[in-house]
Amino acid sequence: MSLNSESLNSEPIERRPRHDGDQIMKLAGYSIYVLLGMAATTSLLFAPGELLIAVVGMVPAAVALFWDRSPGRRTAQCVAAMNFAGVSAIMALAWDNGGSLAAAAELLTNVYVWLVMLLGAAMGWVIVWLARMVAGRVIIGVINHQVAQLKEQQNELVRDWGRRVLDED
Amino acid sequence: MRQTGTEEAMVAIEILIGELSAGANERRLTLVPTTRLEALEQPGTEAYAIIDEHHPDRALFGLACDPRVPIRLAAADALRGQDIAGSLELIAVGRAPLGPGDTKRLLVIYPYPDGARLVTPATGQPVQIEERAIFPAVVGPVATTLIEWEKRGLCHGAVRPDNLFMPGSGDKGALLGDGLSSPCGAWQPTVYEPISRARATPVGRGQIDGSADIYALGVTAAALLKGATPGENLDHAALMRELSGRGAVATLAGFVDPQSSIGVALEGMLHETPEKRWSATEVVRWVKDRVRPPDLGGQRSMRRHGFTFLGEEHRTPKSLAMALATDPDKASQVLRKGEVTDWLRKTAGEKRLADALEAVVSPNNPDYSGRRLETPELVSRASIVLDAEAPILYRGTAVRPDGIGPALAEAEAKDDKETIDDLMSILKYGVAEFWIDQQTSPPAALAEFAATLKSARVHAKRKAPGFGIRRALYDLNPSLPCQAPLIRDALILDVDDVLPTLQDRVASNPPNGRLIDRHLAGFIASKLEIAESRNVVGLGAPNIETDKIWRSTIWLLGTLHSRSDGRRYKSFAKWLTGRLSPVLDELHNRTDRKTIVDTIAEIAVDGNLSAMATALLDEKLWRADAQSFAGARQRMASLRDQIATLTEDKAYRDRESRTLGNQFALAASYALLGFTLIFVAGTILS
Repeated sequence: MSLNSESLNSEPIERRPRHDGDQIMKLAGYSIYVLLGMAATTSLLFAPGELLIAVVGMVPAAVALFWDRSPGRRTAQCVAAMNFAGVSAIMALAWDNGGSLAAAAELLTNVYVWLVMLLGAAMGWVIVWLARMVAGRVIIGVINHQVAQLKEQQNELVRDWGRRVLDED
Repeated sequence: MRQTGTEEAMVAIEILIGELSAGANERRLTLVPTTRLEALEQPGTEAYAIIDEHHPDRALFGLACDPRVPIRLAAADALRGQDIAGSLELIAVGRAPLGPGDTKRLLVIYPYPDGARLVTPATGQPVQIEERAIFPAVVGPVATTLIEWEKRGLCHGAVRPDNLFMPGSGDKGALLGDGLSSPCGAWQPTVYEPISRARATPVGRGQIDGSADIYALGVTAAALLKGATPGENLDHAALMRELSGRGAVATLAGFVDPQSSIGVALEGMLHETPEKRWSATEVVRWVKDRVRPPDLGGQRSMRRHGFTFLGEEHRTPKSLAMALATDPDKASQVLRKGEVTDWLRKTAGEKRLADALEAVVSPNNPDYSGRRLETPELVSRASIVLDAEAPILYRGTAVRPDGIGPALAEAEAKDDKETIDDLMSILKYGVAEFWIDQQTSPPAALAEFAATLKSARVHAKRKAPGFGIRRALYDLNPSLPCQAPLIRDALILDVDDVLPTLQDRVASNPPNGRLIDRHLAGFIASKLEIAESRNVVGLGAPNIETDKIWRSTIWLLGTLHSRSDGRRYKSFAKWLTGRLSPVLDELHNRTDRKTIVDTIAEIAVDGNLSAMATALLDEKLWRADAQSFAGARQRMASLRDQIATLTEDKAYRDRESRTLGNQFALAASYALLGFTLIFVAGTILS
């Protein structure tokens, strides 16, 4: 959270781009791509069926990554994580069925399989929406607290200097 | 002497000048206000019987003076304790309540004169004295007395028949009466003044011209010989014309044989030029031994073409000077065209006057600091150049430099704004100093007076209270009582009496508004020689700006108290404390304000006005308060901006919400992913 009481007590609020956080999130995004690439290569050699499930099942995550241009692409990450959670369950089924491409293709003909993978992605969107709503309430509470603190400081000034300190030239 | 009173109500007199003790006891003089002595009164005064409690058998009288014009206190001080033969002995100058509301008046106290005035009571005309008696009875004794006055650096200023008392018995000469109760020569009829003084406003004739006494003695002698006032049938203008055209001897003593001893003396005493007039010593030598002083020559005959102005030909610069003053607009035209300068240079042969006049008219004169002379000033300066002995003529006002003060006092008393304007212009534009510069041999006292004029000019130019007209009034009239309505009736002459009197006034009749008006500010500033206006300028602030008014008031009172003898003014300080709220309210910091309020309250208990002023007007405190207050206002503005950002900037709020929400969501998503992977892995492995 970027707002804190110390910063409000002493200095005016500055609206600066958060360069450090962006860098970290960018690196994290790249790491995911690297991990995904490694997993895909391994899967292509040893579990092509699971790989097919993953490629097809992660389409909603790909769409979210393409759509989300915000720094760090946190929304897309959230959707991708939940999408992968759903896909991972189907990949486990493919694993149980021998991990072949044929078994994977058969699974993909099952509508419940699709429902699980897409519901995972949808769950990601729901989490984002809920989290933002909660965060909004939290922020309003923080702001109200800080405004009260600032007003108290104003009252102190008026107590010390009289109402003329309120005059704006 | 008529005594109008019957009931003896005695009033103690506060002695200002005179012996304060009689032997081992304090001297006590008392006034009998019900016993008025009209026969002893001088113009502008009232006479009352005075009783000396240690010498009740000695008859005294006091002249109660007009409090609006200065009396000759410095001269009285010089005569303190001295009994000059031939003039009334000054017993004391005192102050006593007299008249409605116990208003105080100055009293000049003398013993009863021995003898009667040299006037016929029924007609007021001078008595007639034979030619053989005039020297031993009047001219000799009065001239001898004037020598004694001159030795003390004084002139008398009131030599005339109705101010001379002739003893009824013995061979004593005439006794000179009062000459201190008014400005020098202020009440002299015009005919008793030489033309150079007679043209001036009576109170503006100036005090520094001893030879004028000899002239007055000459006219007095002529009047007593004639048994009537000479020139009494002439009005002022006609008298001036006669004196200017025919001379004083022909005008006033034409009936006297010029070859007679008195005729010779009158010619010497009535000379128009002060330097050529006989001195008192020369008069006495003539009276005693008929020794005639060396003839310094008469006025130069002016047989040449004159300068025609307003249809009249003027053959002398003096005559032209008088004419120019009668029509300043036309005079300005001929002066600016250089016609008068040309006449002086080419026809009259007065190169020195021509050069001086050219400098006056020149717009490039460095003395004018680049300003163009207005018509009244131009004509006034030109008249001075042409006739340096005449008084300064400025519009309708005629005054000598040392008479500006008394003339200003009289104009103030009469609220004569035109005359006040004229006198202030004379002062502010340096015309009075110019007059002194033009004198060929000015008396030392007049040269010293130039310094007073210079400082008065500097102060007169400022408009703040304590400066301007009232400052000039008190700078040029050191013996004028303070004319502020609040304390006028107390007849304050000494600035040290101001605080006790103010304390009495605020206790008995506190003022609703300001405590210090422009008169009181001018009086105090003059006596304390205050040169800077920044601390008193608030006294002139509009009524609504009470903080400025009282800030300057407390400064002035504190300054006044700091030079006093340590006396405390407890009730006055307490009263002042209640008036200082507007000043204290200007102190922004409430903690400091409370501290100062407490401090001032403590000091007020002690009655120390000086300490009150110091505490309240501490510059370091006020500067620090102003700086801190500016910082507090900046801080308030910053807080206001921060609150506005937090409460009114929706984009900012949304951005913060989204950022925080995304962080929440990411954490939750990864946590759920982790649980899912663990669960899936567990399922596979089992």
